[in-house]
Amino acid sequence: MMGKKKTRMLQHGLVYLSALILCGFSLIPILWGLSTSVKPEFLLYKPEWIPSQVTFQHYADILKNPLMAAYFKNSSVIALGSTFFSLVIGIMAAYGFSRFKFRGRETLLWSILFFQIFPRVVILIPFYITLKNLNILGSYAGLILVYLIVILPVSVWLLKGFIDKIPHEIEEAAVIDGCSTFSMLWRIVIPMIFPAIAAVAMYSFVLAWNEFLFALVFSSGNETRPLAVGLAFFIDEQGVRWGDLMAASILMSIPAILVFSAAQKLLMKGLSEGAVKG
Amino acid sequence: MRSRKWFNRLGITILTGMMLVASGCGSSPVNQTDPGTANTSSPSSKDNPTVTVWMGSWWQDQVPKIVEAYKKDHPNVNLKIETMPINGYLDKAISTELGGNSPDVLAIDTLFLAAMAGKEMLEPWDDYVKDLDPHDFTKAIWDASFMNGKMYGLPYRGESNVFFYNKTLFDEAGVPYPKEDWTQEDMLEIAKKLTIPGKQYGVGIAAATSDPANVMTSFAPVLWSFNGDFFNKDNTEAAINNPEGVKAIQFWTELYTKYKVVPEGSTNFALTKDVQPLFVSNKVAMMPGSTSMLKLVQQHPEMNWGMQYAPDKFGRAGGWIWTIPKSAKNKEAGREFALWFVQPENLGALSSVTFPVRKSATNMAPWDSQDMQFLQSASQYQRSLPIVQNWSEMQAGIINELQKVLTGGKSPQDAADTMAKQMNELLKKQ
Amino acid sequence: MNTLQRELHKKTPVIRFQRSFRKNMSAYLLILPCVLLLALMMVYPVFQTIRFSLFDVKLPSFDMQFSGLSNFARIFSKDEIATVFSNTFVWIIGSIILKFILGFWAAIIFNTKVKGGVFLRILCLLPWTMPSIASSNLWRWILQSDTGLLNEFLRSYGMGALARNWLGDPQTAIYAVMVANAWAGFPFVMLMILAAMQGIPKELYEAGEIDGAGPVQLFLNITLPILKPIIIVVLLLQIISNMNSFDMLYVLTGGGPGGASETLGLFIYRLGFTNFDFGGASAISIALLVIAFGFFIFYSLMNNKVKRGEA
Repeated sequence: MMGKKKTRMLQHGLVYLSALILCGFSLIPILWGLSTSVKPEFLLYKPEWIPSQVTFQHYADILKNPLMAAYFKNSSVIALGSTFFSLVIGIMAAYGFSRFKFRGRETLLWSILFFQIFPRVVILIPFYITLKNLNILGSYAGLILVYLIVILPVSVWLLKGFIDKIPHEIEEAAVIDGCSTFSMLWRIVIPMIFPAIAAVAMYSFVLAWNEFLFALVFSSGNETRPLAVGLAFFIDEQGVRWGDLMAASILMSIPAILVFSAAQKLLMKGLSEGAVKG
Repeated sequence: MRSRKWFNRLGITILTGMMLVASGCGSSPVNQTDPGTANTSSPSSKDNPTVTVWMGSWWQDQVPKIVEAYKKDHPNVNLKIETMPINGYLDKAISTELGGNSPDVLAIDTLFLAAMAGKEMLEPWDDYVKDLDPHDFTKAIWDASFMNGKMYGLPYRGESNVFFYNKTLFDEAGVPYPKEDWTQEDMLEIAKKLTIPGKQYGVGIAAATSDPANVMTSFAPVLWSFNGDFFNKDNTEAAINNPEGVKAIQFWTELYTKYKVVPEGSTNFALTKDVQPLFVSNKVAMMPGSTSMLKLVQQHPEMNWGMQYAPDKFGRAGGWIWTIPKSAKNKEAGREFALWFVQPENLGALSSVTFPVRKSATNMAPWDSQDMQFLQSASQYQRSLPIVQNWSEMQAGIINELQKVLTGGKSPQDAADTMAKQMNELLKKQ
Repeated sequence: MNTLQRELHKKTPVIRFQRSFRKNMSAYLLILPCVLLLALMMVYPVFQTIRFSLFDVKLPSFDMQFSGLSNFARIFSKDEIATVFSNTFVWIIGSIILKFILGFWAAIIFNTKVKGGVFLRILCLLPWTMPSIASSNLWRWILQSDTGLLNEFLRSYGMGALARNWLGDPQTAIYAVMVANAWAGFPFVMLMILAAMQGIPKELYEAGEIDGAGPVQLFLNITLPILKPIIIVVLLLQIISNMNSFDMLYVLTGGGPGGASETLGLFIYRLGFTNFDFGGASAISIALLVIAFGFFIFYSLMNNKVKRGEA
């Protein structure tokens, strides 16, 4: 008994030590950003982690700026829209690819992945022309569509990987019970891949929330311009407005952190737990 | 069974929806004059034309002022100014133009002019500027608006680069401040005296690939000081590997490799992101700069700084110009706006942090201050980079070779020869 | 109804076909939205990229003249192409190794239930939430030679000899950026591995422990084999995304000094928006696609062989 307790303590010690190192590595740049965001201009380039004088002017400026509020709304619509559609369409497609053997399955699946190979620089202009012809240039729909193209291959491939691991027997039993494809997907498969859905949702949200080049080129004016483009306003030919940029970035990452926190419960739902409920 | 039906219905609905969307996809993807763009010239918009303008993000705070002032003079015109961050500015401009969807007036750096005009993306200005007095404009910028004898941009902003120096560091070392007629050699001697290895450096240079304009602000004046140039007189052959050019490259790179009077990280530095912070924290004693630099040092009241003409007086002229993209819908109204904007009284009153390109616009506040007038007086010593079609590619190649010399991978002569070879090949391409 | 159908299906080939069609019908319906969306958006880009790679295109009129493989020849005869490819190779391999080490480590740590685990896990995900425009500039500040945080730290703790011109030295530039890239990218790997670990039944570990297996053996014999399919997918996605990535590199080194950290992502960007050589950029994309096809055909052949071997 004693030995087991000791190994457990050692294990926990190792876990916390590792967590400390990993969190340290993750946080150091961010903490510097945080420190920069509360520094007055004259302290900016002094190597002080805890500034000798603190100002919240940068935060106040950003929160008071009506444009930032508009960009925030645009980012929210675009990121939530992209996340929602990439999950719905992605889960459906992943299930189809995983469970049905039909002609051209492999080719289609690989082609979807190949689309990822095209560099953004190369598809930027054709995308622009396509969106213009669809008459959705500069609209939320246009940006969501573009992000779906980026996210879907990842979402389909990952979700398919997870669905592949669900034993067929569970569904076969359900088929005998008279379950349709849709209800099977909804009642059995989805609960079993909650962790994967959470992970893909986080990926989609972060990508659509932070992406810059497409957002710049395909948004128009303040009506649909998202925050990521708004951030670039703090870098101009005079240099970087560090305080504003860092304050805005930190404010901007809060919604992503909230989404992450919300997804944590789903992420850690084990296979067994899901199956019981299904 | 019911849910399967429901499921199939859902699928069919999605399918139909997509067909509808897809059918909106026209057959000819690229068409400059497709019907979608034609309807902007319907009667109602003629009565009340809309002019769209794109400018850099640093104009953001000025936009309401400009719109209001324009409304006063042109009550019928609906002016829409959109500001764009410098990151991706050109990417967006090019994509939009190739998509046939450009704004009526597009502000660009003179550095972008050759690329866009060379690809026939811009309309010429020649017939519309006959009433303007070219001598009122900074010569280097006016000249930089021309390509192959045609004028493609209307200048509104002209920056003069001078040298800023940190008086505190000069005083500590007991070195007299630079004189108006100092040379590059003088600059090097001063820099040596002001350098304390690992702690402070005499001068700042820029060599970052991602900020080519900064590198040119740092390097080109040295090239001109040594009587070198990028091309021969009529831009038909590279001249950078002439003995003068090689000497200039050697001088500029030896600041780093031999005399070590510039910071250790200079191989990767931009003036704005890296050298300016070092300058305001008393770690670099001298550096080139213009209006934006002036604004920066004014934000640091604790600093004791001064301005002098650059060594041998040369500076790289930085300018922004109004252009009319080929696919603009409302070109005449666009030109009217641009011409209105550069009228001296408007230009002086509406420019914010950027220097107005016309001398006659600088006799009002804030341009009549001593510092601003000093910058104005330096405009005569400014030169512009060559306006040749593939300049941005050549420039990237030049910086790449300069970096190789800085990191000891190549001799100045070899690097200059490679530059010249690439430049000549690219000259032939157009 | 159901039993009746099943009875019928057994009887005639026509009905069997109908059954298979109906079964596949739902498969087609499932994948339809995804495929249609991709087709809608990608058909023209792919078409144009192929066209641009084979034609000499005059911009902005898009007038074109067939030029065969001259775009390919021009790009692949560039002096820097060999360096670009070897840099890309180093960049992809290095980034993936770093991301997987960090990601796996974090996933294992955060898969154990300890107090405050959720909180610490979210902390580790934070790098991912930072917009790249902020994080790349922060890393530039950290790695900068003269007043960078890393060198300041080294110097103030008596390790000044280790201080380097991280971003400005051709020897270290690409590796320094790689660390920043791994910082921004490891949370994704961690998340995917962590999600996949949730699918491993605990009974397997318990059985393993009873057999006297240590943690390392449990990891090698149970965790890794079960995670293998997901690892492969994540690996594929990472190869592609690192091949094209350029945000970090662009801000930190811009490919310099002297091209020492120029990867394909940057190179294609330079071709497109510095040189306005969209033909060249398209040609190299098509070449990549062909290479990828080659690899994937090879992979699926191998895969089939393995599967057949197992069966």
